Amino acid sequence: MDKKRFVSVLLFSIVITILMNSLDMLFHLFEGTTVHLDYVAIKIALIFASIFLTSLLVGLGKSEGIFASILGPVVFFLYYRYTFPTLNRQLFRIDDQLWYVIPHVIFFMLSYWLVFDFIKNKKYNKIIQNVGRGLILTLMSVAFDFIYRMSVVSVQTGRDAEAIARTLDHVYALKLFIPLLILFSLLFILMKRYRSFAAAILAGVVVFIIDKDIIHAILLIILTFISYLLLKKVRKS
Amino acid sequence: MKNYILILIFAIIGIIYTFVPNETIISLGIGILRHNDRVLIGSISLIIAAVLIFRSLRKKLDLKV
Repeated sequence: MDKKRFVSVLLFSIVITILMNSLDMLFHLFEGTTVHLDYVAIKIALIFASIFLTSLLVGLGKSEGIFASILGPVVFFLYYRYTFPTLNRQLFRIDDQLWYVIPHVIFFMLSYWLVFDFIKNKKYNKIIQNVGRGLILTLMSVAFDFIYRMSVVSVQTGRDAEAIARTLDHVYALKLFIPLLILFSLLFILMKRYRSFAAAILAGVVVFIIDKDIIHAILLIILTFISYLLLKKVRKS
Repeated sequence: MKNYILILIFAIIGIIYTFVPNETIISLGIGILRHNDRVLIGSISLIIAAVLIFRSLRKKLDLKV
């Protein structure tokens, strides 16, 4: 197999998986369903498997995107149905009902469209293109931040499922998402050089203002920088 | 032919580990890892089987959206 194509498909699939999970976590926080680290990990594994295998074995394109977008959430629903619950379903409401397949498919398609049209191809005018890229980088930073916060609680509480499930809330999500989206969009529109460093520092500053935690801020600086580099690699590959 | 054999293998693994009840799997002596891990293996196998079916259909029908 061509190594260059393998790396290109791998990076493309990683970015779509992160975006889909970010949209999904935001949706569940606002909708009132629990966002839990174990379920996020399973979702990442299954979504990644569906997009990576489809892109690698079939190819990239609209029909492949639609197929992977339906396959991943359907298999994820089956996983939910046939596993033993790891979280107390009396206390926590999770997305295990059939209708949740529909928002999952929509988020998957949206992620595919964002990466395909805003990163890989340049379909729109410069301002829309830059706002789209700002949105993609925001969603990636938010996803990494949520996963980091849940991982910290997981380590601190010795993998206490209920404590992890209570870590995130919609107020925190809103406080993080809105400023990052505005700042990153402006950054992509106004700046031509040093975007990666500027985006990383902005993310760190926003998180430090919200959380007052320097370690958290430094980690988000690193993760946003990595996200930017990932997007750049996907664009060039 | 090789594609069809792969589809069959992954579909069988996927169906067994995803849909067959836990007690039956253990009684058959194929109860590797924990139940939830087996369902994950089954789910990934189903994904592989579905992608292989889509690939062969795509080639045959030249599906395009």
